[in-house]
Amino acid sequence: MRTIGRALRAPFAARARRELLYSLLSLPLAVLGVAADLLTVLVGLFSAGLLVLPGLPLILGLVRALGWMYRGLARTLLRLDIAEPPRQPRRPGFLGMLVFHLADPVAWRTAGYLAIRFPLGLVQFVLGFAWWVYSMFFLLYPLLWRIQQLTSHNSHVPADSSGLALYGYHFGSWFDAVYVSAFGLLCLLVWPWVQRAPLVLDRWLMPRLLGPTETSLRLVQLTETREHAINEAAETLRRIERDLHDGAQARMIALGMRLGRVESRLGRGDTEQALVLLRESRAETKEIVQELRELVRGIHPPALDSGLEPALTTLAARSPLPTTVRVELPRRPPASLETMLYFATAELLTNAAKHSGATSVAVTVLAVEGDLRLLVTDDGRGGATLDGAGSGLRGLAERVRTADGRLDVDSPPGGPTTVSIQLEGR
Amino acid sequence: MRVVVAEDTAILRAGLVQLLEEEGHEVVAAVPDAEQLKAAVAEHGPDIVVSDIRMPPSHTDEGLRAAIELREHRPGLPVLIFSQYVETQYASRLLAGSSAGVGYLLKERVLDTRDFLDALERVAAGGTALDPEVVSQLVGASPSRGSVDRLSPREREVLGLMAEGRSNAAIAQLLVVTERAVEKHVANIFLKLQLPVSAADHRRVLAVLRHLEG
Repeated sequence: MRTIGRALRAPFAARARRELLYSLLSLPLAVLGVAADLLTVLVGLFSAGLLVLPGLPLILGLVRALGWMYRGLARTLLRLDIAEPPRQPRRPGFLGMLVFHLADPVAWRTAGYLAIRFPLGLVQFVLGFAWWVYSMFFLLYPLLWRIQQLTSHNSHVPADSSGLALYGYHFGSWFDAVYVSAFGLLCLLVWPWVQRAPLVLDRWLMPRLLGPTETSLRLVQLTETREHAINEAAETLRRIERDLHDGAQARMIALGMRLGRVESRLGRGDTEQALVLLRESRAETKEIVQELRELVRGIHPPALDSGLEPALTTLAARSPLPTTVRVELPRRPPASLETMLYFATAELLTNAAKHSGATSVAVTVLAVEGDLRLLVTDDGRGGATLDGAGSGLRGLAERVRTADGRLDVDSPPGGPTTVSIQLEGR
Repeated sequence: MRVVVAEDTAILRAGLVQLLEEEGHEVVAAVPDAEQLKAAVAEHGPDIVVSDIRMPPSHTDEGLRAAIELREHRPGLPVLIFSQYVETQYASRLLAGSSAGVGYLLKERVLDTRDFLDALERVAAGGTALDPEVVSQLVGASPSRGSVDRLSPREREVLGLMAEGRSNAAIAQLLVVTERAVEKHVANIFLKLQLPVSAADHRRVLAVLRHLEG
């Protein structure tokens, strides 16, 4: 019942009105589009003589502008969101400028769309706008007929020749007028679906020809993640440098200074004081070794050499929270993925210990349909988000993305929190 | 001597203070950053400043900038700068004004207590002390390397020691030759590099460095 009701109201729905406007605009846009295409071809042909070559970039600019307009119309009138396709980087020089404009796949794909759009736009205009105009005309025919009759009252037109003439038949009586009106109503009721028929094709075409291609999207993603990876690497190196500079290096110098004092004490024959300083020096050496060990672990954990499971178990043992580890993998993943999972686990365990208030954590690594999945679950208070300030999850998610992976957070208020990382197992 | 020490790593700061005090110097202030260094110098008016280059907040060249600024306000204030790295650029900036009473040493030089105190006294007396590493890098990166190549190995050795800021007597002692022999080498060097002859040690350093910088 409700479906029928909705179908009957469809001609008056906002969606039908928006599509009607789109159908109306289809005619001028189709003409403009085909004109741009023809110009492109003509200038392109003439450009073989290189005379009007610089004109081509201009026309392709127009083509791109039309593509931009279509994307705008699709968004506002068809509720179809098409992302702006990314442009290729521009090389310097006149030749670079030409290549930038002429070898722009976005412009040429748009030109292709405009070519298809010409017949499609005409059909859209006829089935969408013209159909609606005729439906309205038929529907309101009794009114129009009556007005015509009144205005031509004193004229010499015979009564039976008044009104609409179709195939030699005159709809000149009240009965005829109502009949035409009923036909108009029928037309209007089916109009939304008639109008939508060519739109089905249009909706299929637009994202493919006006939107970014999968390759270009991939390119954007790779550029972003690569930049991130480079910054991350630089940041890591800087941190290691700082740790060494302020830590082991400074302590070694201090140790050296102490040994210098031992030397001068011994020179003076003050063996007792020298012994005290020597003992201090030995203790200092031990601390330096410990510090270096920590630093080395941060660069590459030695336990990782013997596999992910022993490495994660070592990590769990060092965590302040009781942590269980389960690794079920048919074979060893590539070293790069193992390292990523290890450091991700380390970070998530630190997060859990710091922020969650949990009493236990479970770490699971599984192979799911060839992919690697890491799950870190704690029984804490939950409420962790990717955007949460200071959660550090954002940075981790970015890092996972550089390896074409995904990080998801499931953390309802009150807990438990599960962070899952999925990596493509190659 | 009355010394102000600036070093951000607490363990090194304490070590330096202990070393200086055991050798009979008075450390009037030991501070962890450049701002406090400037304040301490204004308050105590020390005989010499011993400062690290890399200090908070940005951990780049705070100590160096502070030293240059201090010497602008107090020309001739002896400054001995420490670093864990050799940066010829740092040395050039430090020596841009005057090389009198300027020292630039690597931190591990502190371990050779005798050498360190030597440098300290030299700088305090208005001389120059450049780390051998710094000198060898300056020579290595010098645009006038060609002329340095014309020197004999012994002369290059003497050039290096001269650039470090050592006197003829000190060079003679280090190379185990007579002072007379050193003087001959020095004269040859100045002749080959076409440098103006200068008696004062620190002027001599400056001439050599200017030449190396091209």
